[in-house]
Amino acid sequence: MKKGISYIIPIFIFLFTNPFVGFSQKREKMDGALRAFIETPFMQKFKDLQLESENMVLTFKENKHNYSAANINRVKTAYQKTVDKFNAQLLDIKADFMNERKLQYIQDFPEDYTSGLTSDINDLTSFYQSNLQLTIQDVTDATVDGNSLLSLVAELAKLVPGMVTSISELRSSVKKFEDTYLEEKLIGPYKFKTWEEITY
Amino acid sequence: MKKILCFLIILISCVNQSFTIAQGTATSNKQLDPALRKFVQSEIMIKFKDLKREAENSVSSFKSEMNNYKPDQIQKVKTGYDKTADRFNQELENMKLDFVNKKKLKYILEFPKDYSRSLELNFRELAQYYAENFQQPLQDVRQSKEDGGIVIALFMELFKLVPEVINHFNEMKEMAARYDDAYLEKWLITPFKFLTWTEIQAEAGYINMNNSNNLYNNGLNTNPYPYPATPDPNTTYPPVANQPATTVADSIKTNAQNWWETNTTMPVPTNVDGSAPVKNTNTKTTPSKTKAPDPFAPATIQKDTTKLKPSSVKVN
Repeated sequence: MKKGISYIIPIFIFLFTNPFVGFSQKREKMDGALRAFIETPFMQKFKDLQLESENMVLTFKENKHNYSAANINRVKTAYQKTVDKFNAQLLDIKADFMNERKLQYIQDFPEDYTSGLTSDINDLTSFYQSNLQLTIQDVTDATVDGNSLLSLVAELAKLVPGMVTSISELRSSVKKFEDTYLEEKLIGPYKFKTWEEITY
Repeated sequence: MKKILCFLIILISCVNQSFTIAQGTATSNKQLDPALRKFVQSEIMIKFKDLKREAENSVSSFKSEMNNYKPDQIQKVKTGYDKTADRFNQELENMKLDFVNKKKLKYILEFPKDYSRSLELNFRELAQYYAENFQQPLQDVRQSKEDGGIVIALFMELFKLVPEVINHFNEMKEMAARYDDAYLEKWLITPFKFLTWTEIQAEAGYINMNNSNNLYNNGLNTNPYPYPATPDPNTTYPPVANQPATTVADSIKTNAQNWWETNTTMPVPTNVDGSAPVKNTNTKTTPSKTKAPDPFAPATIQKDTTKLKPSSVKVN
């Protein structure tokens, strides 16, 4: 009996003094689950979209001496409004990952979540078309047409079902994600940069 | 003692069974409850009904002028309409299933935005489906330049009204447990369900009386050959194997029941009357099977037994 206690006590002491054991296990689980999500064609397309939009802004900035200050401001405002929408969508996804009940809902009714998200992406497509694309075409006399970005956003909507399947699957290993973790791994790398942040 | 006990058990099970049956019948026969009434009388459901009427009226009008079109053109419009009606009815059926699924109802109230966005997408897809599969073939066949403006406007209003559905779900959540399939079938499905092609009758006012085919179709003409004596050489017809006999007697038989209502094999033009089944000249679109209850009828004064809390869910 005494021997048994003498074994258990050190184990407890170790666990209490090393909270990082549990933490690192949880972190590993979250890493695995999030990696699978980030590797979905949807998230890859989202990244392409982010890079393409930054590239478009850089190209415009390079040639800004050709445009009036008012026109530059028009493009800047349209860009900022558009990327704010995309970033809000990313934050919505993050919020869903942090909500245990929501993850359960996605797992139980993936079709509903898919339709909702597809609807959101369709709205983003329309918003992009009527704001950034229209403005940049107008200001640059269609030298920059913004069509490559448009096709990327449109393709994004088609990839939603696969992305939702991935969320359903990740729930089996992780019940919910933590804010700081998602901020670091999801928001940081995928967030659209502000106009000022885009430089060489 | 044992005998009494056995007798009692049998008696209780019989009473219980008959109570269950009676309860089921009562549920489907009971009056429309106030919360469901509010939903079926809501703006969104009115718009849904308007869409149904527009589509059915288009079919009705088309049927009355069908003798102007070739069988393959009629078939194209018929297939397009039936496919579209199926889609709309499926959406209605899905809404019904959501009402009876407690788990789903709970989620809808918890995450209203997700549900309304999903519903909105479904309606947008329906709009596109309607335009591509019914409206476009109809315009092509009629060679009409109508843009379907009324239907587009109805769809636009429908999209805007989607978030409102959530408030109705919230109001109905307490009563939903008592809704059964038969009850929802009666009050939610039947009044709003799109009629099938065969259930829609021709619009009497549109009958083109200048066309001799109509006289034939209405039994006033004995000419069994509604198509020109010398058919267009460019017209293609189905293979001979699928063609019915071309005797006059057979052609009359064929006309007794219109081919587009019974099969998908196109008969030879000489046997096709191409007319609408004019049965009741006073009605536009009357369902031939069941009479739908009218959820728009004023509510009968009854004691409201539900204790519904005011709608607290807002669409974010």
